[in-house]
Amino acid sequence: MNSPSTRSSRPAPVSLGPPDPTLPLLEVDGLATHFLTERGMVKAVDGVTFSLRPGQTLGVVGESGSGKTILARSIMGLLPPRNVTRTGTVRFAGHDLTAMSERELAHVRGREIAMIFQDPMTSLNPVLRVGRQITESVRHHLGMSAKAARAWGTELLDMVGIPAPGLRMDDYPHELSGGMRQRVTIAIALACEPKLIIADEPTTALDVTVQAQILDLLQELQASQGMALILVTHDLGVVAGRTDDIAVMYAGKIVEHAPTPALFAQMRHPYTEALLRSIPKLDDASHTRLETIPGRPPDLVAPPPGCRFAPRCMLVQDRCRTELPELTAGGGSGHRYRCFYPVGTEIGEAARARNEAGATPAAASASTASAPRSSMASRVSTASESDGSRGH
Amino acid sequence: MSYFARKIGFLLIVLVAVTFLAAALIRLLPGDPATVIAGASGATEEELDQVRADLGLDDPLPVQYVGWLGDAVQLDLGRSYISKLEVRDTISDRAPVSFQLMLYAQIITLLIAVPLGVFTAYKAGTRFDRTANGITFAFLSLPNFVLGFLLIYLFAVKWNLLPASDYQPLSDSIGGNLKGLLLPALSLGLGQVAVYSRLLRVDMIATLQEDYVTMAKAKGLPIRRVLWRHALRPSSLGLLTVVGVNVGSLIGGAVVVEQVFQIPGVGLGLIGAIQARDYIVLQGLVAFVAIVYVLVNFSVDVLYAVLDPRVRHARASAA
Repeated sequence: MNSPSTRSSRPAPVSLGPPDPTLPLLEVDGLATHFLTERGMVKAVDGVTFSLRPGQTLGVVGESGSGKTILARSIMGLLPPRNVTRTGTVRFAGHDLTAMSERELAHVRGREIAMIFQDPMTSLNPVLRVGRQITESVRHHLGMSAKAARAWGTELLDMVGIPAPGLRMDDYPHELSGGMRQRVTIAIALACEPKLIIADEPTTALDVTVQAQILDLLQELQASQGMALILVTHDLGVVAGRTDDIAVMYAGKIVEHAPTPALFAQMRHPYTEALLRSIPKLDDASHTRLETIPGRPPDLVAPPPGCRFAPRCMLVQDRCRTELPELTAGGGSGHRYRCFYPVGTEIGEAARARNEAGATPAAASASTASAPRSSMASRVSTASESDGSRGH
Repeated sequence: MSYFARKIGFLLIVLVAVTFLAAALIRLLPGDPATVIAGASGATEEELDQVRADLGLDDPLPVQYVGWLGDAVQLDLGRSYISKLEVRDTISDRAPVSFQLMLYAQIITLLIAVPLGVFTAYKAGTRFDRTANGITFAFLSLPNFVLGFLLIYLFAVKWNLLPASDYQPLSDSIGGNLKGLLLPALSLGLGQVAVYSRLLRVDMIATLQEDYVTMAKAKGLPIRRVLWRHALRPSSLGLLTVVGVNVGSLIGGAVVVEQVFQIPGVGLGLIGAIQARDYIVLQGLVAFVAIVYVLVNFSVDVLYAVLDPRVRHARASAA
């Protein structure tokens, strides 16, 4: 892609000073976001802890309803004003964002942390010209003159690979294609040269042919600008080659967090394994039935008492249904997971073998009245079983 | 091109329909211009018939109407049966008065309603929202002539600040013109605050849920700018429609309020024409009101495109 040309119109140096590469840029600690609804408290994000170094890329992976989008918005404080509680802390470059007023936060948003939304059809204002939407943040945050801002905006459009950027500045969003619009939102996010970009499913709404281009562009810009990036996606394949770390979310909690190579070399959580297996492979014979994860994500108003994934898990034991495993380190290199019977370990594989053998010995020893589990090899029976067990 | 052609075709149909109906309806009222002109002096039936024949009122209605229409197309709207003044002059005297009253009323309403709509949308469900709702609806539920009398009582009678009825043309005295029209404009405008602000509030609440508003917040823009620059314009199409309808109807004369404050506008002219059975004046005024309505409607369509570029785009590709 185009290397940035002479950066005459580049924004002034950042206000919080250059980040110290040895200190975490972002520290999220025990972040929980709960929505008060008519049905009860929805625990959309429920105790998430992680940190990010400057320039690091983190993939946040989970299926719909896992809380990953709410996590992204909670970090920036972009939540509805009412019926929401957010607890825990988010520290950015040493500043606690959760303790800031809206006015103080406004200096961080767009300036230090920028966000890219899922659907560029709805995230651009239909009645404002593209140029204005790109330049308004530098005009506001950096006090750039209209002329300098326009030059910088044109440069940004060029940087994100939009042809004839000078002309496109005067277009309205509806005059651009979906891929072009997402490039525009990336240009908007880059405008103030933030230290962190949070991209919430940036390619989900786009054509498959455009998805890889947008992801490559993001990765390139992230590397060339030295920004940290949180890439939120439901697709493990999207983050595989593009992130330093991956955090897998399930029902509002991180269930596995590891450096990307470590995760793919040795995934520990049964949910991560199931997620990977649900990606179709090129060397599968055609018309191979797609692997799915049986059951549905839990009801976040009343999640299962133990491990949230227990009702759908292939390795589940009785302990999993009553006790919530902590996110603990294992296997070195910063690999953490939330599982009593991790995949690929002796106890984990023993659990799998027991379940596949047809009955859970744990059930016998605990003498509870749980029904003997049918063969785990049959996905259909697992699904019905997991549905039945949701009432526990 | 076809868009304009359709609009003009629509205008012509509305004009003919409305003026014909007005001509037919007023003739259903008891009495006619002849009785008004000659009846008071105890004229005989033959004398009345003579007056009718002179005025062309003995022809069947369709003949009278087509004759009027033929002249009207050549911009000759005839003369009043009673005052013998050109109807065209009556309109050009009265229309600016009603137009000013409309303008002042709309300015008052919009100045209050737009900020209120924006702010109550932002603060939806709070005590402020509910209080604003209650107060504006109180004004809406008050008929505007009642509000008019109330304002006259307070400002003219009790505090003696403003005249109860003193229309001065803008060309005579700007201050006097504003003073004379302030109370009538308030009577017309205050009630509409509830309509405008609630309408804007509802559209605005929907807009505030949009991704692009969250995006604007994510840019770190102050909430003021998010509301006014990003959310107001996409939320104002519904409001614009209603403002258009009101503008049209107020230029056509705020009949009741013009009567209460004795403002010599189109509304008072219509009342006078009906009472005097001055068919020709009524038809002229009604034709004028209909033209204004259609033109305002047309301008609203144009303004949609100004407010929302997607409308512009769709229209351009449809043509």
